[in-house]
Amino acid sequence: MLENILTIGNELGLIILALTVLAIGFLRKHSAAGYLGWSVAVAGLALLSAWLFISPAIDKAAFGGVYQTGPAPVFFKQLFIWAALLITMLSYPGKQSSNVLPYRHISEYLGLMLFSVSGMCLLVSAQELVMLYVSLELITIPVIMLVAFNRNDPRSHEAGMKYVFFSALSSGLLLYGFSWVYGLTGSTLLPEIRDIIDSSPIAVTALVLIMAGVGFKLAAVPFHLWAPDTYEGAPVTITAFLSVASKAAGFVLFYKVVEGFFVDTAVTYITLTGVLATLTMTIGNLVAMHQRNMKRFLAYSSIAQAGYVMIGLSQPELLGKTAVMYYLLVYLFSNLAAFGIVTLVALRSGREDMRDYAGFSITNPKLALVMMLSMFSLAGIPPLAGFMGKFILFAAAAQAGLYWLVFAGTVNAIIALYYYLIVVKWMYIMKPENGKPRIGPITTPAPHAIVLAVTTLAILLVGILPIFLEWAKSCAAGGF
Amino acid sequence: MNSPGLEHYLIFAALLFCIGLYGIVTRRNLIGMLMSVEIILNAAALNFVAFHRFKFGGDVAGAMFPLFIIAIAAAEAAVALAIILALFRRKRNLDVLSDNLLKN
Repeated sequence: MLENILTIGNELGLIILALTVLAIGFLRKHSAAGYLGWSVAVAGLALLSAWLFISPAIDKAAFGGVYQTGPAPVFFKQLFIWAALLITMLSYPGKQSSNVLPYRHISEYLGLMLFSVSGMCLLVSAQELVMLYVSLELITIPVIMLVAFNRNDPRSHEAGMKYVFFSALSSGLLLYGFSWVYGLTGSTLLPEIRDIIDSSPIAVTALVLIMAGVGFKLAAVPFHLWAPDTYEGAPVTITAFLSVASKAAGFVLFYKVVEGFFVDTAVTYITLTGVLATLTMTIGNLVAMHQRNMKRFLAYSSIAQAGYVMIGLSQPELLGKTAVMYYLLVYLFSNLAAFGIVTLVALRSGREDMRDYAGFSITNPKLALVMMLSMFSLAGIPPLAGFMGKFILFAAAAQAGLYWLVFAGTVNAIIALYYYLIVVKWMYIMKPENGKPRIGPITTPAPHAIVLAVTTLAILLVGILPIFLEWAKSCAAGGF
Repeated sequence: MNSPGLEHYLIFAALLFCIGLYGIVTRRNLIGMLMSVEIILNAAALNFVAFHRFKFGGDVAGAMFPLFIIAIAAAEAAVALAIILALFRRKRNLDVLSDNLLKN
């Protein structure tokens, strides 16, 4: 028993941290509690990340095989904790009060986010359908509350409403699929299901239902309708959390219940994911071109980015898995750099429109540079991290002989380059109206500065230093 | 008299699933949508119980899963109702399509 508890120590630590931060919010009202809760959350997340780093990543099961950790789960847990740490730092309760972030209730907000992260860590390790479902809801329900967190903003409520219905529908589809999988195999343990499940029509129907459920979580294209509205209405840091951590959790779910269950029908699987990837990239990119609200723009960009990652899903070998994990790492840093700037600007000037960024490079040259680097990395311009990530994804598809998918990906990368450059154009080339930029000089608080420095450094180095790719590769070899 | 067998329950659950899916697509009232989602969840729970009862009697997972589904559906409904209430206070109606602030 004690050994079991030690094995899930990381998740327990997260849950204890979440409860502590929540309790701080309840203990004392007003400003000082916010700082205390925030500091505890940052310190706790940093400690947990360090603990994961030093503890050996070996295969280990607990609670009768229901929970399983190993190199690949540890990789994803590290990813989730980093995302949470960076987003917590972006949520720093500054001196200015603002409607953009819920500063009055920062402890509750961080507590909910930590619960969601603990759900993600449990999801990576879940080897059983009940636990998978419970951890999935542990991820989703706190995020619903966070999306609707801005009490004074009706857009936030509307975003929360859309998210709650779509996520409930997706869990409904997923569960109905699970129930058929259970009926066919008589087991809820994932490894046993993988051994027994066949490619009978009922099994394929169940898998399609499961795939639809996972598609909602990933915001893959026929199921993406909730994403832009939810992303636009949610508090901007939560949008960042949704588009980075929640999306990565969706990919974990895909590996566990879609890729894992498609054993005999490999050709159908490759075609389905390939078509889904192409649709997701294309629609995401084509609609992103016309967006002028920065949050909505980043929402469509993240839909398109998920499409690229799905190219890697259609290659079930080691290289495909490596490409997916490596790209998610790259995407974490590139996207959070962009969100860091958008958060700072929204926080300090209340502006979210792309046109407001005219003259941004004159008033804030350093921030504009970070934004440009992150846009270039998302677009995949060498030598930045995003280029390496895309290169390996396309290489994986080519290795599997899916040249049409490589072609679709390349065409989409060119379309994406166009609209990422629009942002750079507004910042660097467009002259502001009346010669006066709408966004004045922005003072960057220390936590934001650290986030921007770390993400910029990562954008520059992750693509060049081979150690990150090696890490992803060695972790991918472990499997889920 | 034949007592209902596995197929009857499965067909009933499939009907429930379809009703729920139809409801969530066609309903414009938020409460109606919430009910449709709950019907889908119940279809899944019923499937689990039916499989447990008629096929895998020795395996407790099939009997246990619905309990988790019910508990989590309750949590989800609580959050959904809280959001619906907040929306209702502002808009004074529960129509999904009326004055959306976020463009579709």
